[in-house]
Amino acid sequence: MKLLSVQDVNVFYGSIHAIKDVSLDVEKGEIVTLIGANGAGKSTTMGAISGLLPKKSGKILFKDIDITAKPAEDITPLGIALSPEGRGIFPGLTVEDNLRLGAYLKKDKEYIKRQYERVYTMFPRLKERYKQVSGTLSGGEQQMLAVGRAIMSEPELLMLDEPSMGLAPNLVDFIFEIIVDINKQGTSILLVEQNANMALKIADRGYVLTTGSIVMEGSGKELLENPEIRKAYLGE
Amino acid sequence: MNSTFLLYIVDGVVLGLIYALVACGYSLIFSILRIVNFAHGSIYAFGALMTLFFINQGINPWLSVLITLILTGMLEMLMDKVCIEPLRKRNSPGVSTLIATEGYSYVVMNMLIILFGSGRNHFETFYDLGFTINIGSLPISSTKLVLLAISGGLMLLMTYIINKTHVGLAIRAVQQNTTSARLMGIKVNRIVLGTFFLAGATAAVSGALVAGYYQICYPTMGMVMGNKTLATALLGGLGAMHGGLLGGIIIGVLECIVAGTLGATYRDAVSFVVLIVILIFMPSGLFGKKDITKV
Repeated sequence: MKLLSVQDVNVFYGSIHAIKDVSLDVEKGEIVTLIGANGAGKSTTMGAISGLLPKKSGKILFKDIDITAKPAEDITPLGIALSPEGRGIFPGLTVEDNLRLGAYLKKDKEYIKRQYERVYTMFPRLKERYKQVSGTLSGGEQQMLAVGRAIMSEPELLMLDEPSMGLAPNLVDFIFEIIVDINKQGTSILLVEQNANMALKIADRGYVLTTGSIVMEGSGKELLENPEIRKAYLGE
Repeated sequence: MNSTFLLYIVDGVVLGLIYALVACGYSLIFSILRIVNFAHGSIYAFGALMTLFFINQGINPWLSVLITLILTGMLEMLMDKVCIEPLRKRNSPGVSTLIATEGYSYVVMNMLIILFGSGRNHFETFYDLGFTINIGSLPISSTKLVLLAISGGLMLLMTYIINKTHVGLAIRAVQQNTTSARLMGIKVNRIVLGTFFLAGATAAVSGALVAGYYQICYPTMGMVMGNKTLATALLGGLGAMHGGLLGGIIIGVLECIVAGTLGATYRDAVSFVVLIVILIFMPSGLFGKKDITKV
């Protein structure tokens, strides 16, 4: 079943045509990755899906519901969570308050408690620091917080925008392991990455974005073995 | 320390808490939208005059305050809807919003002049419980105690709402990062409206209390109060409520000392001297964040 279907979406920043007729799908249970160079339109695509950016044309369906014109705050309750570029944590609030906000729309105290436990099991570091003001966390810890916050509401689709950015190599491995783990727990994932190598290794399918257009798509393995991709994105 | 001086301090603290309560309104709105609401003073005057209006209709004074509190909160919400939200949607520069609030201020003030006349109205103290307690040789009237209790209590309530409730968490989230707040499913415009309501409600209560304390109210009463409490908020650090409390007490006490020693002519000047000094030497105030640019 198609969980997310993006059809011919166009986004403009003023007169700049940021993404052109972008179409992509995420099936239930998949990890799909969107790779491309800086400025190719990856984050714009994420912003368009999550409802942060207005679409000039095209259509976006989530669970067959048309979410094209819906603002972010109305899309979140449907079961999409975005961990945005630059992490977007609430720096003046504690780790626990940040996590609580991740499930802001849920009122059930027992549920919230279970979710805290789930996140803390994945990221023991966050449990150690739950009372700490999150702006004082290290970059890696802030990334853990951003991912943890995004899964607090158990979304059906988790969108991660550059989760490995600025992290030490061992932390990158850790974050990718977590992504696979979250996926195994039943969450479909749309992953935007500059680290194409890592992303394609864990992805079921991938799309390649170049200057606002999707120029290639295929299984993670196919793209990983494609000589053009290897040359352009994997530094060979 | 002689007893006159102690009296200045007691009076200053009472006054300071009221200033702090009005300053709360500036801080609340600033912390969310990064704008200074120049209509705050007029809205405070609206609170005083409307309370008087309801009292004159024979309604119980406390009930009058309550009705006015709701009306004033709605008047602030209306300001957001008609002149701030449209600018926000268009990403207008902060200065446009500033001027819009200034404009709204005059609309409210002139509406009050049309409704109540520009003259001064007598406002009977409605919270004089008729006793005075003596601490040592220091007499403290019941009006001062009530004033202290209500303004202090309201500030505690606001602190509780912001730091301990679910809505408060959303308010803090919007203060920190509006985009992320939206991604959490928070309806930002509703939070902003709620914040305006809180700012209006506290302004209304302070307006009624101050009018009752000095037994006078008039449409332009918010001009000086608005500027003075802006100085209070700036001294404490805009956006920092506990800072506003300290700022209020400092300005209140200084004002009473100056009024008592140099004469009442200079009392209003104090807060502005303080304002100039802070703007020069401590632009972010006592508790303000060093960097107030919004990302």
